[in-house]
Amino acid sequence: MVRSDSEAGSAEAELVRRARGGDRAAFAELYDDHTGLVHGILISMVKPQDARDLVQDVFLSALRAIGRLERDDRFGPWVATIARNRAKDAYKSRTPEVGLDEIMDPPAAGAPEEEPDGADEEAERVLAVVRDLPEAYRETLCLRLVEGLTGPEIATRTGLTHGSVRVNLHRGMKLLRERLEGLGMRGCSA
Amino acid sequence: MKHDYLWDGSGAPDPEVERLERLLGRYRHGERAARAPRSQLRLLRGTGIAAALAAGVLFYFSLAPRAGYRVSNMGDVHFARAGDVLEVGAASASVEIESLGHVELLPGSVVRIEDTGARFHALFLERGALIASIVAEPRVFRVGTPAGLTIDLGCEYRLEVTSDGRSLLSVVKGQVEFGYGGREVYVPAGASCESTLTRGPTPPIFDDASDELRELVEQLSATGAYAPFPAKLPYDPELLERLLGFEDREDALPLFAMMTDPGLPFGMRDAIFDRLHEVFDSPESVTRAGILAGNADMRQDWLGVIDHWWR
Repeated sequence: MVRSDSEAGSAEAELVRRARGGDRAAFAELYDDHTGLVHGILISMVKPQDARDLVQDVFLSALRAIGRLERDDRFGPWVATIARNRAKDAYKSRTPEVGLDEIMDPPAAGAPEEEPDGADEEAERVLAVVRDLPEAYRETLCLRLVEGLTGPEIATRTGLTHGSVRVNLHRGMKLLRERLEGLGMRGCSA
Repeated sequence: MKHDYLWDGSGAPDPEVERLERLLGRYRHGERAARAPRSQLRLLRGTGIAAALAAGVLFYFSLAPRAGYRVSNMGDVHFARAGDVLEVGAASASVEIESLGHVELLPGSVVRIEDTGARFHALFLERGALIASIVAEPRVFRVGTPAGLTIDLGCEYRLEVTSDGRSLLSVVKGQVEFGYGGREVYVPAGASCESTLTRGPTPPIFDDASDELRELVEQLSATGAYAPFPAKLPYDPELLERLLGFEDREDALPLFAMMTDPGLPFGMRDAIFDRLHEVFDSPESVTRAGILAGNADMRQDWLGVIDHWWR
């Protein structure tokens, strides 16, 4: 059965009301429904390993603060904001990660313990290029390409309009194609 | 309506988008651990946190509902489904929580199986004690008791329901969030706390804390907002003064729980903030006003710094 946006919003609001009242099963359901959103936002800003660790932090913050969520139908946009803030704090407080230039042209010091296979290495490089895009584009593209959310799903969960998401997707994808092409990493022609 | 594969997956797939979906899909939540790039694998091995990777894989496989759990050392009972109640005899029994780990049920315990993975993995400890050893992502596994709910954040802990209705929690590894009745505390490895139906969890303390600190926290837990309802005794400012005087960073664990407890008078929380600020660095994002107003993000930010000293 397919639920409309308003039905989904109403069901989510009910979960928020129950979670605020201490119903942990309801919070677990919110967790399940929004882990992709949170992880997609995090991975657009921090390394994959850090993103995985921060998912827990974000939901712990949400659990503690859910009493102060003002609109029950805005859990997605609210938890997305927490995720962005946590990622920014993590970015500021941790050691600088390897830059894009280094990923594209890794130093040749010493023999590697284990050679990454081609696809893994390519994925790492493409993700680095995505994360180098402007924020609005990289976040939307990570939700679409990493988490597999559709444009309408991204709009519903982040609280952005369909128009904004569509623009971010298409402009972001155009810029990504150009950058991949500039780096000789385009696999297919559009 | 015009088809747009990038927008909603409709129409003919864009080959470049499809390629990127395949490439980057390995990082998707729940899938990425099984297919993490090898450069990450090297890092994980090097830093000794490959368990985190395993947890991700286990979480992935834990999503599908299962029929029940394997049970060991319980006579004729070898399998338990949701709704079953396990009454343990004179010897300990063990329940395998799929591939997430296991729970040892100590003699005399009564445990109800609440969910075997349809939504999450959940037990309810009616009486007795259990030791949970779980490697999973947060929120996948939980144990309820009459006076609180433990939310597993990837850990090993002992939980006991006493004959007088108290729930005792001791964390061996990792961390646990323990809550009841609107009061929630964060309990790191090496610390314990207890909860009752009438007051929720007390401030946690480390197991190797001095008797003096232990007695002090017990005394504070019998007064003010921590007192069992309805016999509320007023707080004794002298007790708090003494608690603020402990110098070891580990002794500040109960203070951290109390600082944001809305049941405490504002002046007390203010004094606790001053003391914690003196002992621990606070991130730039943390302000007195925000913390005392209960800003959960600030609390979490500060905990991120303080936690470093507790591990």
